[in-house]
Amino acid sequence: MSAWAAVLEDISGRGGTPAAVATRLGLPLSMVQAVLDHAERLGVVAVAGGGCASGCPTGPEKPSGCAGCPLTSS
Amino acid sequence: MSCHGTSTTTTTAPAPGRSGTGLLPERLRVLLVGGPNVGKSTLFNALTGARQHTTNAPGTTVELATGTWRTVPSAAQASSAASSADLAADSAVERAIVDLPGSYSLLARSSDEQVTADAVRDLAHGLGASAGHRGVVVVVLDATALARSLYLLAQVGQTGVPIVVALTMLDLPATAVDSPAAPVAPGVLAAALAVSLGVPVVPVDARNRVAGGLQDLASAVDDVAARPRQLAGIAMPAPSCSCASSAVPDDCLPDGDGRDLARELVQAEVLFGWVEQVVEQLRTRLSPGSETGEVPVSAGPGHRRTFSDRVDAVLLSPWAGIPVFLAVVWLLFELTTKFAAPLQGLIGRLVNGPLTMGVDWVLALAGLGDGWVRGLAVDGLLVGVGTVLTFLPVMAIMFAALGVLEDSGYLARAAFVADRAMRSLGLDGRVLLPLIVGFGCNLPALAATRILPQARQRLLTGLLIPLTSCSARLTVYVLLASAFFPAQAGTVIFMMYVASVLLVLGGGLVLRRSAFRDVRAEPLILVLPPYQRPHLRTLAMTVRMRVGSFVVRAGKIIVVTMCVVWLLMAVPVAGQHSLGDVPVSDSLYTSVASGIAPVLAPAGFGNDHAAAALMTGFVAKEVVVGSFAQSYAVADPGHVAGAGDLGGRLRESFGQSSGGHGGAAALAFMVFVLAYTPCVAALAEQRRLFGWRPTVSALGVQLGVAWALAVAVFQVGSRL
Repeated sequence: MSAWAAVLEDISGRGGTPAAVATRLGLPLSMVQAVLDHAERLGVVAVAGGGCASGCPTGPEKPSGCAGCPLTSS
Repeated sequence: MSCHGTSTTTTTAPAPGRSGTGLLPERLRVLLVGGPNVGKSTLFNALTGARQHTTNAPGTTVELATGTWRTVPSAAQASSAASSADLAADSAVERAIVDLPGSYSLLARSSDEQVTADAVRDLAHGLGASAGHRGVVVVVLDATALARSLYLLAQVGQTGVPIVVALTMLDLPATAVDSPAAPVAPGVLAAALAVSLGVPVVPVDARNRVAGGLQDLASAVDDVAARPRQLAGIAMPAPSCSCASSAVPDDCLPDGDGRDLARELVQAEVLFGWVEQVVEQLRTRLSPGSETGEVPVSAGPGHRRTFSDRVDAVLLSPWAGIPVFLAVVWLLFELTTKFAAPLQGLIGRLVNGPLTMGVDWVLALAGLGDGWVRGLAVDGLLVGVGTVLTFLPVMAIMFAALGVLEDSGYLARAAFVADRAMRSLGLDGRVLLPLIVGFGCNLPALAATRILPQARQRLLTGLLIPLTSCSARLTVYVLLASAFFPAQAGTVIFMMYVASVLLVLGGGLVLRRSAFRDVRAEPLILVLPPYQRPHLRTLAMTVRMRVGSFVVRAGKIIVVTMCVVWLLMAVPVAGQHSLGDVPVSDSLYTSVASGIAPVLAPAGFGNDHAAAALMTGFVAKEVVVGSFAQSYAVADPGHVAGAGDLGGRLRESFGQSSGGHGGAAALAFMVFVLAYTPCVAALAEQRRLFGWRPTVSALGVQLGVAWALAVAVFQVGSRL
């Protein structure tokens, strides 16, 4: 199985952080990060975190969960 | 050698790709491409020195650094130069170089990354369209995170542009976790990489301008410009692209627009297959017994199980994850109600004591102490607003607790566990994110359905979102649970949230098996963050902002609604009364509420106060509590409506309307509040997103389901 398929299968089945997936699969962390980054760009993976309690997310694109939130403009 | 520091400098850099004189052939165009923080800009500064300036990328606000990369060729190079035009008058070679924004991928998701992807695409087009075009892409690879850098290199390679690789970060401590070849000497690693990639690989240290490999990089770039070389072993984009007429058509490039997901997934397999192959070749070439005989290459394993990994082993297990999640939520509500109760009492006493007396005193001074103005101000607005203010401690504690759970990384685990449950029911895991948002407020949750790819999926989720128990409903739960079940208030509120989840799951299941059979379920693949300690100062600031927002938003709605309610109470429909001087029993308000109350009688709360509160609850659920307070206060103006008094009055009226089963009626009322329309704003958003027909149908179904559930709860509860 390719690294692409293995990473996606592992993270959807067992969950965890990129580091945990890298440990389980014996892959370089940067490989796992690259796979997940690419999958996120394709829209098949969502990265959790960046919670509102740490302040509003910054960057060019805000999560869709911010839509309509009264705090996003601040 | 590289020329910074020399006295002959060109301070104005022509636009990349353009001749400075218009007579000379186009200068070689060099694009620097690499991920963020790989040392790309340091390299650019070292190559250009002062011969650089910044400009906006065409049509964007993204800043680009462009400059002139000037070198004096070695004697051997000078003698072998293909054309004397390559050399300037002083024998130096000049290239136009662009430092593109750092990007992990050519599949752009920001304007910065789009500029990088477009620049590479434009160069590929230019090279394909005209033989006079000359250009090279220098891809900067981070030696401590090779796999990730190779992924970007593969994407650049697929465009067909000539490539030179600059290898950076070679001086950092070996991090075997990140690199398959970290402990290997730079030259050895570069040589091995060059064999695998089929393009020149130059180890560079931009801080060392003499022996940092900058001259080698210049030589490699000139060499590749003269004899273009492309990545070895990388498959070009999928054959569905019609690449016959142009070297690199737009649809063959990862530009992020109008993408075909199936093709992109195949592309991803190709990309990462190539990356894996290169990493594997490196391991083989650099392992003991190979020709190099160098230090063994780390395979990347050797990661130690972190704290997050150990905790996740428990929390992500289906058997432990769900019970732990339920226990955490129960604890949350239990703590919230226990801690908030004393503060609520204090605020209630302040509002109904000193504040009410102060308003009365001011009105008396103005000569308005006995008229309808006093009724509106004290029995209307002040009672309503004051009662809602008593819920500020609840909201603050709830927001703080949720913030801690969210910031610690636990909520993401809960979402992962819940996703499994949803998938087991055949529901799409991706609907989970909008639904989670719905527990805060239904309005942004409806907007968040935009993340779902199919219109039918969005509609299905939009119909389920009103069943998620928003924070405004919490005020109703707290009031009734504290009044009827003071010892188990936290547990009762927790059960309301469990009921909300069950309603969402049940509703989703029914819809998926009836009107939405065509919706395809796709799993949510959630990447979890590591656990971390919440930042208390930020948390406090966010709680303050959220509570403030709640007060302002709810305050506006409450003031307007209370005025309307007061007006309804001031309009006589029976007896000989004038406007503003009417017993509430003869008012329009009671008349309307009395018309609705019989319908609610089977649920045990068929009294005017409950009916009127539910009626005003259509505007917003924050109003329900204020409406209760106002209607009791106006009905009995002599009785001060404190928080505790309101509970007593509720027990009294619910007891009467339910035949002595006030607790069961209160539970039924809470279930009704949970299941019926969240607010006018949510209705408007549903109409905007899905149109009138689904919105009106959903409104009818919600009312019907709410009534049926409330009746069922009361009928069962009153018999226990």
